[in-house]
Amino acid sequence: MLPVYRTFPLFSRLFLAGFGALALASCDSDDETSPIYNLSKDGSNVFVLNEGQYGTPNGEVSLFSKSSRSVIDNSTFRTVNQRDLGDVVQSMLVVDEQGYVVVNNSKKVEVINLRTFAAVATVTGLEQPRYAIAAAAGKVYISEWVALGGTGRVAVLDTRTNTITKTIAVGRQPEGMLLANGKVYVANSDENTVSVINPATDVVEATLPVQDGPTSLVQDQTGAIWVLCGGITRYGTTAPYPVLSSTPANLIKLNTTTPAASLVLPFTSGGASELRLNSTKTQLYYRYRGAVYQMSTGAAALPTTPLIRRSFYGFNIDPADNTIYGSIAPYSGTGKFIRYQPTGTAIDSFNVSLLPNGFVFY
Amino acid sequence: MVRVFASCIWHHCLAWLCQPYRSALLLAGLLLFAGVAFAQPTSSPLTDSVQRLPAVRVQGVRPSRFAVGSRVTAVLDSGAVLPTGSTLAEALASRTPLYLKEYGPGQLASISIRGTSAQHTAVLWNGFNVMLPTLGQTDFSLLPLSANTRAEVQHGPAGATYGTGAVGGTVLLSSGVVWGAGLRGTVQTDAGSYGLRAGSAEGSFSNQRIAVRTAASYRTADNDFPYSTREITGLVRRRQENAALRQWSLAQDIVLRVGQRSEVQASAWLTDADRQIQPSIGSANTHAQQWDQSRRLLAGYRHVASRHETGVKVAWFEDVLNFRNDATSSNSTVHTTQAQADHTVNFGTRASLRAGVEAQHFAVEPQLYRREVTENRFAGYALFRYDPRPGLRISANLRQAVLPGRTVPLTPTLGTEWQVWQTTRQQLTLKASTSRSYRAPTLNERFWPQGGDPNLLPESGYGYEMGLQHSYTTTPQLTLTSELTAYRQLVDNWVEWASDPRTGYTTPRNLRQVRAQGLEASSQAKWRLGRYRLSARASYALTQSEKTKGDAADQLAPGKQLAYVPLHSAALTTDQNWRNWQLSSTLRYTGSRSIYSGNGQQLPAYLLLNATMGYTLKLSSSLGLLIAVQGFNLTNRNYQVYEARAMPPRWGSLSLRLMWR
Repeated sequence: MLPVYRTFPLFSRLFLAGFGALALASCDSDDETSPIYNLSKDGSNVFVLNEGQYGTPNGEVSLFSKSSRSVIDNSTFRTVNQRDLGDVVQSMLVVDEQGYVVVNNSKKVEVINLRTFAAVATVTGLEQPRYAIAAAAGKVYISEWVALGGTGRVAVLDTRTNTITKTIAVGRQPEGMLLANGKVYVANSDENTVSVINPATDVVEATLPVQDGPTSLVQDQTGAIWVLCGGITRYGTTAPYPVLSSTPANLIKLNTTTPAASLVLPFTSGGASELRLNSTKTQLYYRYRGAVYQMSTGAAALPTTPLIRRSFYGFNIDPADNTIYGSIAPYSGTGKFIRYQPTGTAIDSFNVSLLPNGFVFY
Repeated sequence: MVRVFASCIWHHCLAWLCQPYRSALLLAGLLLFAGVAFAQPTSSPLTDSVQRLPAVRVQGVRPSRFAVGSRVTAVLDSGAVLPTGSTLAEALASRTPLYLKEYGPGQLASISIRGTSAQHTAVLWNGFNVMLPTLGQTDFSLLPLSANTRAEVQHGPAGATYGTGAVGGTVLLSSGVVWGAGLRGTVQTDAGSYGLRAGSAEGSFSNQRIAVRTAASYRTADNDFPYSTREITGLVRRRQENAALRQWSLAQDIVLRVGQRSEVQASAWLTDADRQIQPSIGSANTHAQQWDQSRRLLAGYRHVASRHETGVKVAWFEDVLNFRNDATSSNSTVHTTQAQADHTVNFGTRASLRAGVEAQHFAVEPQLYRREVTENRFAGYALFRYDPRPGLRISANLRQAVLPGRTVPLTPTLGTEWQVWQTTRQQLTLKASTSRSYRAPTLNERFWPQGGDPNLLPESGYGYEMGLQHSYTTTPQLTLTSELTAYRQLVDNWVEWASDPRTGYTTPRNLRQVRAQGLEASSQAKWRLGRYRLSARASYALTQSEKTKGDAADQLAPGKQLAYVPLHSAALTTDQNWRNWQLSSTLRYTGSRSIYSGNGQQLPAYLLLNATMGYTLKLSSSLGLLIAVQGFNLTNRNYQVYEARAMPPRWGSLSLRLMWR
């Protein structure tokens, strides 16, 4: 007996999700004006970023509906745009109703109308782009590694024309960025510095020393900037890629005027990553050694007990209710994500696609 | 980021590779030695000895004699002109319904027979397993057709007969000897689209005492073909980047008869491929490049008496695989030394019993696993063939492999062929076989520093098949041969690389069980009318291969067809000759295949048509010139064999072949 394959996976997915009427309408090819999706920015949607298999353009965005507690579409981009999103979906920025999906190994950013998920523009010519941030009105910054070992840069995207107008040289392997107090802070992850750019002039005004390997930054409710430095692990460039050197991670409460006076909370080893905030910006979260930790912004020492003992590939906190989303990403298999109550109790889990690495709440 | 990097590592550890020159010198020396050593007897009064030699030749029993009841497809039997430098990958993919996962033209091509993976097809060259021991598989793009005159695919498990990896099937490569054929030579040159340039030369000499064959070929291609891709502005035409290749092959076979009952064989096969690695459509070009180099040397002695037959063979291989891109590199060199000895007793013409032992020693140079790694494997086997009466053939084989620290099941194979019905013009044969099979863990699976598991169990398969073979000579001019086979196989302890949450490494585990079942049908017609000859062959394969057990996190759900196993595939080949003209065509259908991306996405089915037209000009009684025009993808299909790897649109090539004798 032969298995009966789903001939119209999109159709069945939509139907199961309670969108039957909409799906039927979308099957009407005469009615090209009716979009497949009509998403409202009401906080009920979660975009799960599936990195995809490195070297193959099968990165995708899964659309999760909080209200129906279901994954509506695991290939949202393909469903709407009828093409591949790209190779290594690294991150996504939301500005109003526009999404900026950074596709690392396709060297591009796809600009998406998030109401319909239709692509508006493709920004090309980027070199190993990583993260994007709204720097000012009509201006998005995109961090680019450019090349391993070389100086990174920040590309300035004019969101009215969707073109790169200039690039700003920063440190090696710029990762996360933060707009705080009118300045953009760029974490240079392959060194121990944070570049400070004035988004009005696009000029680097200062380079602050931190610990090794800064990757992500947040600003808490008091206005303090926290920098998570993951340490730097250097690998050989030849298989089997041995570890050549490794420095430990540090969490830093940055003193932007006198960096040397910052509060530095050292970890015993490297690898801490993904610094997050809760909705009131009073609690910090990060991943470290196969677990998620929570720490009050008023604490003077790192927590010793994890909130969730589970190794995630990516995680985020829903600003609506502090629900924690963590993704599991087996290399050869379908990824999934698990939702947790703010206390760390698991709620439910859902299958998504290849290598889910992040969550965007919309 | 670390994970991104790790994913590159994983990618590269799959894409393997290695290091050179010393071996080339050694090899040149050996060849020279072989040339001198074997040239000597020919300087003796050869003509006399030829006349005095008996007509009975030193004819050992071929291993396939013990593979009764299984299905065999000959790949090189049609005499069709293939472009020089063509590889086994291209021949199999166009002329059989076998599925080869090709990452682009001339790129990595791995085979899937009967719903199994690339590691489940053993590739034997003159009886020695030539699969790359680190990866445990063979890239069929690295095996140019020129090197061997015989290529057969034995379908289905045959662990007892062919050893590790003979789970889905076995590819048997060798060069048959034609004694007393004199001097022959062929030179061919080809030019084709997208920078294809190729050439080959083959020379052979044989009398009744010595047979020598040398075959060399090279091929270069730019592969800068156009392809279409959907972007935001619609369908955009782009040109393929970073897919050029350069490869060559040199094969040398010498067989010398010693006395009346013995022969000595020495063979060498060198292959070298320098390939840019074609990036996916829409992925960054990281200027990846791979260099594969294999040196294979073999020496054998066989003594055939009236009842007894004894053979010993030794082989030494060096496999180099070096890879690099903008960010990383990976080098590997593996040396494999193998020895085989067997003794056969023939009980009249109706029964043969062969017992043999073999040993393999692998040595991996330290750059791959950060230390030198060696492994020894041994096996003993007994093969029995018995024909109780005309029209009934039975083979019963047994093999016990010994792998370091792990138990391997005893692998028996039992097969029979029974001619159930025969008239003067028709013949119906029933075939059946059952076999256990195994696959030894690859060296990467055991020794990869970040995640390799030395205690991994061998995979183990159990399968059976039944078939009918019918041949019908309708008229002296027309013969029809058909074969239908149904099979079923269960492979257990199928290795799956999965994340280990304790270490963060991806590690191989004996997680999966796969059940493969299907049908293979083929029909061949041969028709002659005056000077017109037609050979047409249609074949079809229904392959259902699904996971029955496995890791819960595996994207492949139980009951789903394995990725890159088409449910339907078919091939129709025709070869026509009339006077000095020849026309060949291959039509190949590949059904849709699921891909690793999950989400139920399928690569669409495609139909490919290739054709060759040739004319042979008789320049003299012994010299001919063949002019051939070849067209590929004649219907100009936009298709992908592997996800997001572009394939060329319609293209062509021109070949000139000068044949002496």
